[in-house]
Amino acid sequence: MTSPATRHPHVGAYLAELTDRLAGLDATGREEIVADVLDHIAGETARLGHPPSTTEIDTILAALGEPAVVAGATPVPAPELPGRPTMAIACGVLGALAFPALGVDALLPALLAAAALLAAVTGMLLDRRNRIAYAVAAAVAVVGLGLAIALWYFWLPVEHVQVDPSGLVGTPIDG
Amino acid sequence: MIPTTDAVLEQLRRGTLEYVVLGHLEREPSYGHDLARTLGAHPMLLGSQGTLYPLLGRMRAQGWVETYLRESTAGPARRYYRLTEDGRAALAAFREIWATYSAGVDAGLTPSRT
Repeated sequence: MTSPATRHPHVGAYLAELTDRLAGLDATGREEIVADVLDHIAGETARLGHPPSTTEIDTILAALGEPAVVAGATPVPAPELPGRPTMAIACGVLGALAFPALGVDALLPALLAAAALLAAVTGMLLDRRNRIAYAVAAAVAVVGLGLAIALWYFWLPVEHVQVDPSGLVGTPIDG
Repeated sequence: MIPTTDAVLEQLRRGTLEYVVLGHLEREPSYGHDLARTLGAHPMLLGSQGTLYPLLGRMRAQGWVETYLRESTAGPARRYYRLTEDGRAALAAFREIWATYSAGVDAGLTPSRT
């Protein structure tokens, strides 16, 4: 709902700050709260029966409460299930154990990097609150994995390694 | 440390206000602004009128209320809130608990006459 009153700069500033403070909500939830607040302001100004003065607008906004207070009453995001970072690390450890169990005799650095990547990706999926940190960890793990594979292919003397056609297994020939 | 009146009220509102809203909506579906005015008549219930709207959002996310648009003679269609079956059940459960709970609180708070 728009009216001259709801286009008042103080209203605009109030709604802008409220929108900013509701940034943690999904777009639909945020828009609905802001729309309800805007309707409220329009309703209050309509009750006055005349175009509101700036003082009256300020009174209406004061009754609504500071944007920080209104935003503070927003639904608290569902708490992350406990142990999710632990779960991510556990996935990484299990991944590290799974490689040898599957018979993949990869280099230790590659194994560790792959496990770290698995843990980071699991963390990104499970622990959304820290997903940026997990994304960085995943990127580091990818770089590490790449370096480990490069090390394996280019640094180890080829004549001393019997390479499996899959490219994943390297067995020293001459011990 | 002695808690301020606002701090005590905030704690009390946190556990009860949504059911008060459900009670109002059980009587009749309501437009957010009307609901804010009704609750705002009891300053103990609603400190800042604006805090009602996030609460309504949470109740909608919980499936306790739903919204629909109703034409208004005063302007564009308004979004009204009404109870869902889950909201009705939540209110009934709270009423049952509240009767006993509030009696216990009253009994506990009654000053001794000795």
